[in-house]
Amino acid sequence: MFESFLNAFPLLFGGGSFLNILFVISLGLLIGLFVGALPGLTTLMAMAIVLPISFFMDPLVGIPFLIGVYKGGIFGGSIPAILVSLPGTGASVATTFDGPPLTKMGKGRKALETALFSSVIADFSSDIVTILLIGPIALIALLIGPPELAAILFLSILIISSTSSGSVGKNMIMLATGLFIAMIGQDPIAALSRFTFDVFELRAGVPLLPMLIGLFAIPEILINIETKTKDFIKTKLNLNKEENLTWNEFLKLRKTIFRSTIIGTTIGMIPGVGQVVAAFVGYAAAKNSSKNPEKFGKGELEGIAAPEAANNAVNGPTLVPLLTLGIPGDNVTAILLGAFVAHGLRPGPELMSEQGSIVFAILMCMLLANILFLILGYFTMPIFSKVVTIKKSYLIPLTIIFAFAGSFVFRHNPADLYFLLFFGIFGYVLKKLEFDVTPLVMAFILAPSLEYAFGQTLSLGDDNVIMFLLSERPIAALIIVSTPVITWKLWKRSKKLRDVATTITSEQVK
Amino acid sequence: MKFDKFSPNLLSGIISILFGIFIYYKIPTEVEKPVLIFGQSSSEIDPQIVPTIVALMFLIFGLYTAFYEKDTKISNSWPKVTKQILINISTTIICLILYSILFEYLGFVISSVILILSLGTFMGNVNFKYITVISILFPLSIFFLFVNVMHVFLPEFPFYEIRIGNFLIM
Repeated sequence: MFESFLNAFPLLFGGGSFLNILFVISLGLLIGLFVGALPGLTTLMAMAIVLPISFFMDPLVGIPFLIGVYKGGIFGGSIPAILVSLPGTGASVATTFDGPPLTKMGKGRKALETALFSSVIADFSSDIVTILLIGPIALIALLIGPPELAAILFLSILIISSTSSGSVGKNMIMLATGLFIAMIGQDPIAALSRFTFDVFELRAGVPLLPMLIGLFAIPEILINIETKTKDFIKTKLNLNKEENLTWNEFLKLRKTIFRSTIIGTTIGMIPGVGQVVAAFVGYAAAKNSSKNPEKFGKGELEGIAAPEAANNAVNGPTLVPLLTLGIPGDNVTAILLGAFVAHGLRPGPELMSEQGSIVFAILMCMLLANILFLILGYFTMPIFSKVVTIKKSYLIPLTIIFAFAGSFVFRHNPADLYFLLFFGIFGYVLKKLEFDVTPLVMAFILAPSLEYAFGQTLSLGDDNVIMFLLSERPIAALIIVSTPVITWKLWKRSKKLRDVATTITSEQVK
Repeated sequence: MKFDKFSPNLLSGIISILFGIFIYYKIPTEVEKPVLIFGQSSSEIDPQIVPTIVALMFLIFGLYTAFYEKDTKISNSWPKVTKQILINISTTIICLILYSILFEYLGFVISSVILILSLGTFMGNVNFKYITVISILFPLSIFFLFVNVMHVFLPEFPFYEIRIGNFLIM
């Protein structure tokens, strides 16, 4: 594994691709910042729409491009949250508590710089933790066989479904829906046709890309069209005239940033919980340990640093289960999984042993992205603060045609446009009825591997699978037996974390 | 029973139960049977196992949602859909369906110009000069990016070749 790590350096810095990588990461960061800064348009939507572009690049260029969009989008979301109290993404809701009061005091630039520095430090630290963790976990993952893999995949989708937002019953229905959609086409064991209803287009199964773009981008677009609001916001801002964050002010924030980094990194390791919860927990922890908790919500720099560091620290650790076991922890990593698969890299135990150097090179790109993020974010902050004023009647149609073009180019099949449309409308209805689509997407992505490993386990067990597991695969048996307990514990934990978020929000509303 | 007595969770539960039953009854006809080779099945496991498990999942989780979560306050309220929202959304969806059809026949650029102009005008608050310029420049740029830079296919302009069935007109 260490050899793979060392081999990542020539991959990254040799062969003349380094400048290309720097360019695409910067481009991704700028796209992410732009979309994130527009209230109502999310990072997830931006990633879903630009995903097809990454397919036509080298893996070491295309995947860092998406990582750039991701990182840029998370910070971009904080810009309108701080300046005009409109969170650009869910992860920046907690930032709206202290950002707008600081802007009113003429400290908008200071608040944005606090958000930027906290985000970069937390993200960089959590990426280093990810690089350190991924090797040992990958070595353990190499020891597992089909029964253990089936047990782990089953446990993962249950955890994701139970820890996602919303009611457990609805999440489980989404899980079953994802499994059903994945069943359409051919079974992965004997390639037998199933649930095609004699529709030719369904014979090869439901394509991943139009489904992802449909579920993540189209509902956001439709929600924006609902009200036809004329402008995102009418405001005049000039950040160049405002004062910067001082070194002393930054030093006072170091404890908060450190605490939130640990919180975010830990939450990132729990599948399905995500940045929104991390930001609220980070905020609550900062408020509870502050000597002046009454200042929170009235324009406290710590109130910016805490959620921003926490939500960005989630980014790295969510990649650990994805790269070592092929299990995406959230929707963003599900999109990254789509990019890996399209490049012929199937995340899982074999990926680390066979293409470990590429994985480490991609992880190093994340560190590079943080440095570029700091530079670009600092200098483009005043420009992106003006993005909040762009009219959505210009942007929405452009987003739609990008989504349609992106869905079409991968297979050149007009049927993919109808898949996109179907999943877009389906996603919109689900969003209105407060269903979380995360379990659906996760189940759809993991179902083929789960079914294949499950089939192999049944074959290995011959007539008596239970005896086979107990006598020859005790670890798999142990995982299966402990699945209800682990799921229950994590559900309780995520519920507690979400309660913290709800309490803080209601306190702020009061 | 009044409509408002059906909470979203109750309705979701009922739909899930019905869908589970539907899948279960469709398994014999919709799941292909493995070929027998020398009297032995070509598939090592019964291909109906997984679909049966999924059908049962719909049934069990549907029952759970319909009975235990029908009155829960979390994520269980009807969305506020006004007449205006309904008009906006239906118009957009119709535009998107037409766009999907025109995409293939008129090509990417022309169909996109029509979509941007019509949707932009429908959403309102646009300067007609700007939206016209954007509606032409943006699809052309995307077309150039995909076709000439990334070398992937997008349906071209319709006037390169016009066919009726398999017959090439132009």
